[in-house]
Amino acid sequence: MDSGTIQKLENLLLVAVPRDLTDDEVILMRRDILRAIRAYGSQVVLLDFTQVDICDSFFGRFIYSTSRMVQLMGATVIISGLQDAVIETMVELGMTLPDVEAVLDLDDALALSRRLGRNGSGPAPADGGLPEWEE
Amino acid sequence: MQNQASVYNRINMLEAQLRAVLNSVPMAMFTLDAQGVITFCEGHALESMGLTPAQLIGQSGFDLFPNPPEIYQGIKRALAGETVTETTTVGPMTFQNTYIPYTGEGGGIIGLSIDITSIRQAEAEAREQREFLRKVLDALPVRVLWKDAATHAFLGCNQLVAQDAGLPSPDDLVGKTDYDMPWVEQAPLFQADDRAVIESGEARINFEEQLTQSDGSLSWLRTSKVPLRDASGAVSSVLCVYEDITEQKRAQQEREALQQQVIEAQRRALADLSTPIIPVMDGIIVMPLVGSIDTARARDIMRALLRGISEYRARVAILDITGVPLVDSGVADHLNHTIQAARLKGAHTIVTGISDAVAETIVDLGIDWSRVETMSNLQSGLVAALDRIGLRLTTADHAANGK
Repeated sequence: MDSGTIQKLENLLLVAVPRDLTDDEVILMRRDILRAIRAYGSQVVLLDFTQVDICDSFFGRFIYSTSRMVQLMGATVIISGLQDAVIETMVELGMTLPDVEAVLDLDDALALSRRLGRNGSGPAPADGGLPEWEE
Repeated sequence: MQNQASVYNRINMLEAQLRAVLNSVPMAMFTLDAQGVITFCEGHALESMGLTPAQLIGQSGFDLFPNPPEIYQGIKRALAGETVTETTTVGPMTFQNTYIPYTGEGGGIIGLSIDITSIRQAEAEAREQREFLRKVLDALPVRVLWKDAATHAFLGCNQLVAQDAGLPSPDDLVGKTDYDMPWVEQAPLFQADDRAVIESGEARINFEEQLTQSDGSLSWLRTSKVPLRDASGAVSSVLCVYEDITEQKRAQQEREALQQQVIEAQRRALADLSTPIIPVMDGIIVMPLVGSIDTARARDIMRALLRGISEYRARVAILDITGVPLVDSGVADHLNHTIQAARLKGAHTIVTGISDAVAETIVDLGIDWSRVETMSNLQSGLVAALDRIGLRLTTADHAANGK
């Protein structure tokens, strides 16, 4: 798997999820993420889905299994960049991902991960509320 | 002695009868001897020719009628033993002449001349009328076709139909049926229509149907079928009159398509109007909902909200439902989906405008909104939203005095 899709940024591990993932690629990608978490000591993993335009079973399997594995390793999962059409389908299918924090884009993800870093790592509150914002 | 007298009487009577007949019908009778000299002539036709028997008897037929050659030849051939019939026009009049060789004593010929002038005239008039009718039919900008009621065979048609059939003239269609035409595909339908008109005895006016042309293309027609009756009152033929409305039909279909486009564009504009997004502060947007929410509208609302969250980088969305008259489990579900979608885009949703009636309905229906943040009015919602993004409203002098 090329290093272009996984990047470290401060305490954040940036994963640019490619479109059209096959089952084999899912397995490889997950392994790379978990290895990187251990290597960098990342506290937050950002899964960015800007490239993904279809919500299919591969997508579902990737999100659920990867989030679970990352959380087991003690890091927080954030997702960003979900396209409107993908969100519509996810909601229709009841795929609401209650354990995962969602943000609009990379800027917000970075802000969130910095805050999490200061307050200690761990999953964000389940109701999705954002901690106090400092101007 | 008595025998002779009765024979003479009989002869006189026959002669009188013959004269009576000949003088009352437009014909004349002649007898010529073996040299062609006229020995007897009598008949009403003589008057029309301006002649009297006296002028003709004793004259040679050859001398009297050197022209036209038909008469001269007629006499000659009959004297030679051949029965001849010919038609001659003399001036304004036309005669049908028959020359019969007389096989009795002395030979000669018996000639019969019938004045057919008026018959010819009637024929000419009839032909003129037929010609005129044909001109009218061919000048009409519609197709005209008539078929036999029993066999469905074409009895006649006008030039346009021949053209459609790819044939040079209407006469080429007589005796054929729809099965012999380029529109053979529609033949069963056309004949079924014919039968319906024939059996009911009632015309079918201005109905639309399709026709395959000789080049294979498909045209639209507006057709009328009328039953024609014969003297006994039975339907003997069917008259079909039809015009090509392909162009009109195409124009009509284009108009309808355009109309559909306009309606669709209006529907979309309306949908846009019904989902306004108001950015009230950095990171906070308000979406006031007015009117009932069905599945289609719910989808529009969700899409508009997601677009608004992207556009204004909102982290809090306030959905105000003051203007929504009915909140049942369906509407509650739609709103839930919208809230979940907004969350996946990184925005928290607050639902404001919960009236007492709506609050009652939600609990009574057992709708679970325990995890949805709700307020009774927009002001409270705004304060909660500000709080969420870490801002607080203070009065001016408070700020002036420092935090």
